[in-house]
Formats: sequence, structure tokens, C-alpha cells
Amino acid sequence: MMRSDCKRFELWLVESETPMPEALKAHLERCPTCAERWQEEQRYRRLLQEVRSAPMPSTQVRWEQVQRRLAERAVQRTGGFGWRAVLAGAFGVLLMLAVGMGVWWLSGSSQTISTSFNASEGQGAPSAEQSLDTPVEIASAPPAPSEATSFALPTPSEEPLPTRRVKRPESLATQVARLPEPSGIMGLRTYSARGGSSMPQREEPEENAPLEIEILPTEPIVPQGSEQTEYLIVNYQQYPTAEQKEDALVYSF
Amino acid sequence: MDEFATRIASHQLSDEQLVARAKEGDSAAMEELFLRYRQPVFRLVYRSVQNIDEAEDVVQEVFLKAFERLHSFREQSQFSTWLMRIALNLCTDRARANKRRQELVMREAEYKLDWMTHPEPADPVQVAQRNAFHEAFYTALNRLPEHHRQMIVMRDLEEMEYEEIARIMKTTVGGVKLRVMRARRALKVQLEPLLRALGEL
Repeated sequence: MMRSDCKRFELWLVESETPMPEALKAHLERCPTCAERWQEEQRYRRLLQEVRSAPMPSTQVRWEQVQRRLAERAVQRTGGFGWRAVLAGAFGVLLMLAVGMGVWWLSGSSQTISTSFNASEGQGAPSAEQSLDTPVEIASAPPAPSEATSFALPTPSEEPLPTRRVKRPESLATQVARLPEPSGIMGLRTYSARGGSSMPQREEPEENAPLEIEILPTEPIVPQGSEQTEYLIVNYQQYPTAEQKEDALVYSF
Repeated sequence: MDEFATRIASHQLSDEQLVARAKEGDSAAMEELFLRYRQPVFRLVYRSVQNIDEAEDVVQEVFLKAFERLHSFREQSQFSTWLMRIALNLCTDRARANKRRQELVMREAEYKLDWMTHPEPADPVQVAQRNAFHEAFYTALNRLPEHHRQMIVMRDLEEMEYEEIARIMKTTVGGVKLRVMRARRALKVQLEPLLRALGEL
């Protein structure tokens, strides 16, 4: 009986929307625990009243602020999508470039590339039988330029240049650099440097080497026009027409 | 004049009608919903976070979320209930994010309760006493877990109906009463020194 009254009192405390029934008032007189609880509840309610009576500040948030932020967020969402699209596009382009380079690399490796040498414009081209180990001799050369002379390449001769097939020595490492393709050809070609260069080395597979160039055992590079100047013409021999072949000549020294 | 007329027309519409218009992108309807519920949302949030700046941030966030997700509002409950639920969820998120800050507040609370129970020579100004009660109450409230705090805020401070709280919390009225009872019990434990002091006053 006592327990049920205590429980009823507790339930009434939770509801607390109706005045206390007389039965509960009588119970409080008999039950010191519930009487203590009731006193505590009254103090709690008094405290709540104090707290609730404290002035509540008004919000200063304006509709314009919310509206502006809504618009900003909408733009951010659109912008975010745009960035994703740009990134996806860039990734796609890079992927296509990588695939293109790979295809080009594989197709280039099956070609045989020969290199032709010419000492200088119309003068003393080495014969096809000349050993590659022999430095190219120059019959005559233009007067030596000053120190400030640039290393500009000479105009290629219009006469057909003697070519020779070059076989890469097995023991020599190939030095590879990148050189812009001659006109009419897209992409980049591998290109070898002279012996003694500090360019990075790359080992090529024996059967898939894209370009076979040997390191020439010549003297150190000298300025253009000096007596020891030599010119290197690289000839790509896989061009079907003479015009393309002419364009494919690359001069160096 | 057109804008004024639109505002008057919006003012006369029910929440359901305004929500329907807002879903179609009617800015005036959104503004009317904002004006209707700005202060109630602020009161609830302010009771929870007890900081005006933070409360205003949360209020803005509540309406931003509400309008951005309005298309997902199925109107199975009232717009105000849905809005209050968003507000409570954001307050909970904020409370979790500020857990460290709350620990500092709790330490401060201990000091304040000590001050209340062992008062220095009494301050004669009644307002100062009320402010002290206010601060002591909130510092004790801050020591409660979030689910207890929400119950106290909604039922005892905002005096919401049990039915409304049940709709917001997506539970039964009986469940809410049980939660409120537990929350009050936990709060009274925290407030015990202050309540004792109140009894002596």
C-alpha cells in the first residue's frame, strides 16, 4: 500500500500538471521519504522559475544572412562539381597522353633507325665504310668564331647525304635524352648524346630499343666553325617520301 | 507594394502551405517560415549552448539545413517539430565537438557551486542573486549527459508538452516521461548543494 502511494506520488511529480490529490497529501504526512522529495521538488521548481524568469536574449539572425549563405552554399556545391569535372578531365587527358606515349614507344621500338654523319656542309662526308671508332676528319673548316659565337646549327645541304646503318655496340650504355620531333611528326623521339656527356643513362631492351646510337669516341665538343668542328646528322630512314626524310635530318655537332 | 502584399499573403498561410511553396523555391515562403520559427529555435538552442554567438551560428545552420533538405521533409510531422529535431541534433553535434570546452566549463561549475553553497558576505542585490542562481543552474546542467540535458531544456525550461517532445524525439509519451524523470533525478543530484542552500534561504 505504501509502495503504491510512493509510486503514485512519483508519477504525479513527473506529470505535475494537475493539483496534488488529497490522497497524496495524506501520504506525504505519513511518508518522510516522499515528504523530503516533495520539499526538494519545490526547491527545484523555485529554481526553475528563477532561471526561466531571466531575460532571454533575442536572436539577431536575419533572413538576409540565411539567404546569402544559402546562395553561397549552392555556388559551393556547383563549384565543387566543377572542380571534380576539371580534375576528371585532367586525369583523362593525362591517361590518354600516357597511353599515346606507350603506343608510340612500342611502335618506335620496332623501327630501325640509322644515323648518318656529315662533317660539315658539303664537305668531307665520311664514307660508308669508315669505322665508327675513327674520329671524323674535317677537310676544311670556316674560320674560327669568337668566344661569343653561338652554337647555331648550319643549314642542311640539299644534296643527298650519305647514310650508313649503325649497329649499337652491346657493351655501350645508351644515353637517352628527349628531342623535339622533326616537322610532320608528333611526339618526342629519344636521342643520344655524345660520349662523356653527363646525361642520365637508361638501359634499353636489346630487341626493343627505340633508337640505337652509339657514343662516338671523338674529341670534346668544340665551337662551331673551328677546325675541329664536326657535324652530326641524324637520319630517320623510315620516312616514305623524300620530303619527310629531308625534314627528319637533325644536325648537331 | 508587391513585396508587402506577398508578405501579408505569406503571413496568412499555414505552415503546410508555406512548406509547399518553399519546396517550389518560393523565397518569400522560406522567409516567412524563418520569421515564424527563428525565436523559438533560438530559445531552444540558447538554452542548450548558453552562448549567444554560438546559438546564433546554430540557428543559422538549422535553417540552412532545413531549407536545403526541404525536399526530404515528408510532412509526416509538423514543420516546427522537424525544425526542432534538426536544432537538437545540431546542438548534440556541437556539444560533442565542444566536449573539451565543456570539461573546462565543468571545472568552472565546481567553483561556482562551491561559491553558492559557501557564500561570501551576501550580495544585497536580488538581481545579482538571480544571476548567480542562473549561472549555477546552467553549470550543473552542463554536467549532465546530452540526452538528459535535452529533456530538461525541452520540458523544464521551454515547457514543451510531453506529446510535442515525443514527436521531436520520435518516441512515446510514456518514454518521454521516463526520460524526464531520470534527467531530473540526475540534475537534482548535481544541484543538491544549491537546492539545500535554497531551502535555507
